[in-house]
Amino acid sequence: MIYPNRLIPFLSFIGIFTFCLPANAQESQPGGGRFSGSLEANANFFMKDAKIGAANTPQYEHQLFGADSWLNLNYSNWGFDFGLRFDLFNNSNLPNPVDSYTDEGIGRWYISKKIEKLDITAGYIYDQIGSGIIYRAYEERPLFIDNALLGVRLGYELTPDWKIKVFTGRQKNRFETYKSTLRGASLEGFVSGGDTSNWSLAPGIGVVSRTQSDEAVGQLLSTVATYTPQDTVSVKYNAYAFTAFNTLTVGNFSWYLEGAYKTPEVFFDPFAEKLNRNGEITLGKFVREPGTVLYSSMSYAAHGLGLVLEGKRTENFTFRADPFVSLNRGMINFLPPMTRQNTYRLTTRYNAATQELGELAVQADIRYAIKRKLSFNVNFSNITTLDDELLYREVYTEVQYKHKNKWQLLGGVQLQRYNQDIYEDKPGVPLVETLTPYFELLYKIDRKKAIRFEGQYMAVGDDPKANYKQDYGDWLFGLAEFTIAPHWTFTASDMFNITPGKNSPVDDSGHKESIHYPRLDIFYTHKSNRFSLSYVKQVEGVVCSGGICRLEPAFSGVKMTVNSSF
Amino acid sequence: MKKAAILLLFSVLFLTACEEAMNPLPIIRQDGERRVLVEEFSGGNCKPCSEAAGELANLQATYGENLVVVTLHTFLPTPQASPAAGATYDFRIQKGTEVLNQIGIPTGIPAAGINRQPYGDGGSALIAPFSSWAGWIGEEVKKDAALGMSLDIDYDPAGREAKFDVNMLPNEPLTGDLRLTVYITEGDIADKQLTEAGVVNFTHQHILRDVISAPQGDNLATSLPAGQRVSRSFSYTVPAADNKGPWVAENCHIVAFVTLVDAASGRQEVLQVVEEKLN
Repeated sequence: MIYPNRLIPFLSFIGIFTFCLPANAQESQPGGGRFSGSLEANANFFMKDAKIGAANTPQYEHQLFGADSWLNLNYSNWGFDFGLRFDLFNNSNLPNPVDSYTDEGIGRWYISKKIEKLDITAGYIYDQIGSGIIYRAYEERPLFIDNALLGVRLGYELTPDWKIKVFTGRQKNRFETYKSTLRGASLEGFVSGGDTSNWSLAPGIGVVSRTQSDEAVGQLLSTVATYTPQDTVSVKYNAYAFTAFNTLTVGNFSWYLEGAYKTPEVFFDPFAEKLNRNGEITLGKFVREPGTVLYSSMSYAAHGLGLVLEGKRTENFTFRADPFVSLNRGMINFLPPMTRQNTYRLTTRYNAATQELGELAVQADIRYAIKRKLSFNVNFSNITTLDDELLYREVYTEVQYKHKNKWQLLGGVQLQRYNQDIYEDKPGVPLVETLTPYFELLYKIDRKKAIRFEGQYMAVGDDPKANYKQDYGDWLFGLAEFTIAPHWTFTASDMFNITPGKNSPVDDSGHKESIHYPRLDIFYTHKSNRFSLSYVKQVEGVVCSGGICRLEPAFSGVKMTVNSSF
Repeated sequence: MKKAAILLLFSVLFLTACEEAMNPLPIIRQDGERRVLVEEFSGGNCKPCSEAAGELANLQATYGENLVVVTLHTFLPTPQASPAAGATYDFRIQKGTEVLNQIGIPTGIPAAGINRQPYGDGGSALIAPFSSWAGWIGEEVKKDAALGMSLDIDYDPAGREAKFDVNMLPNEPLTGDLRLTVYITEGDIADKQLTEAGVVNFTHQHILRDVISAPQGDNLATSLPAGQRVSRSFSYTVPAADNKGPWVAENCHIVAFVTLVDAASGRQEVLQVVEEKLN
């Protein structure tokens, strides 16, 4: 049940931060200043449903309401750029799916000034070097990642085509910072053969160094001191990561190549064997190893044909602000994912999280369009450990047909092999095998109205040991969406566990249960503001972005969101 | 300006070449009075929990009696907390869950409280991953002991009844909300556990079987002068079996510890702990 008085704080919140702000985008000031901003607000009303696992957390048991919000304000004047962001987490399960987190405060501020060719920024800074392999400070709200650098950055334009930057600071950790310090520099340029030439180069080099805090080094030393002599490693304060990269473009062909090296540092390897003092061997210890990454991406696009070929080899390239944090915490760098970024409900169910300690990944993507009506897409990705153990394989096919701008049909099949043991820490389970045919039909009723349907069926393999289908078994998903442009969209969907699997819930009689996970959404868009109201039943899953993943708990309840820019 | 910028870049690159001095490993002593309580939250369906148990065994071999371990299985809403397939025992007890609720909710298991100190993520008293436990134990064991503790246990095997006194002797004046918590644990329990090799027979140690005091601790005092001995008496009948599984009294231990509770935040700090075999 949703109590009306629980709505009041949220509506007040929306009222204050949305409607009281200038409705006119980019409000100008008399002095020539420019004001802009954005708001993202999510409110969740939790309705307990123990059957799907939406229970036994503070939100379902007694809090009943939670919200996350980010209000971003930017102002430019007198040659300066100023930014301020207010972050709010109210009974939020973003940091921990089974716990509640409440805090609020200034999540970001910055001041930036350009003086001729010199660019100065202080505050919370988002940035990256190359593709991010040695350094990327970024924000990914659904994953609770905000790796901004609280510090200073100086950029200088050596020539119009060559830029240099140096920075130092500490990485943000919620409303505080990690205790280690970071410093780095990069040089990036652009070289072309001239106006008559069709080739160019965009080379760059970079270095990032991290100095551990006394506290972290003390803890590492105390930990290593408990090891037997054969497992002991030396602990140092500093680690350095270097990278060199280049993009070669010749006509329609482009080739990005990046190589990175990290000096030996102490990190936790959960697969390393440790000889304990009682003579037993267990897995997991701190080791001291150098790290390497080699990443290449080639693409070609012409005459309706698009080809992309990517490869990446990663070894011991964990680089964190604190040696004792794991998962999405304290990441200094970002390793590019090597799988297709899928969008449909069932084709996104199994995702490959980037393995920073070791993986060998390749991906090929081919697109071909025959005029404007018909297009094809085939994607293949394959990820193994460095010992050739399969982690993930996907074949994705897609055919799209457009008919006179009136209707459009898209369909295809996805095949996956997913190592649930490694990605979800479930030892002994077989590789999850999926076969997922899908379609999407869009029909434009008139200039304003359109209707869209989606259908997907995921068939998974058998788990002979468990005598069930693997994981949750087979799924059926259907969606219908009606749009009245430019304001309204109505969506109804259902995800149905049509053949329950080993991990599906059981009913009172002990039998696996086929459960429906329905969802109803209403979206309203007004200028640059978008509002949504949704009733959601959602199965537990893993949500990924850019190869970084987070466990998304089962959800039952009502969601409201506001996205606004001004 | 351009030269200065290039100089700045290359100075950063150059500085990376400087060699850093070695940092010596600390020497671990086993003769201090300060003992450290590790409350480990585990689960039968949790693969890394078996590795964490090995880590704790190694730490006990390192720190000897200076380290007291209690393993709690709770009703944390995650499949990892459930018993492994085919298990005889269900180690989860409601009182263990009540203890967990006092300390915090972990991002996952295994997680542990080290003297219930706020060393974890975001100042939590629950610390994960287990790779960081040794470092914090090293910090705690270096501290001075605020009080000495001992246990005098009289166990009657025929009636399975234990009568025991918890004796406390403050080394310094103690003020605040002081509480005494008493656990009974059992070791050498052979039962199923999920491990890297799948579900295997595993020897479980330090399993919390019951909380003899109140889960939040019995009120002890609000002020204890230095040097004044304090004792509390308990009696407990060890069940032969309960709905969680059989009990082997010979493998049971009594664990008692004193906490100082901060009235404003509710946070607890374990001041000292003692462990003795029941029989």
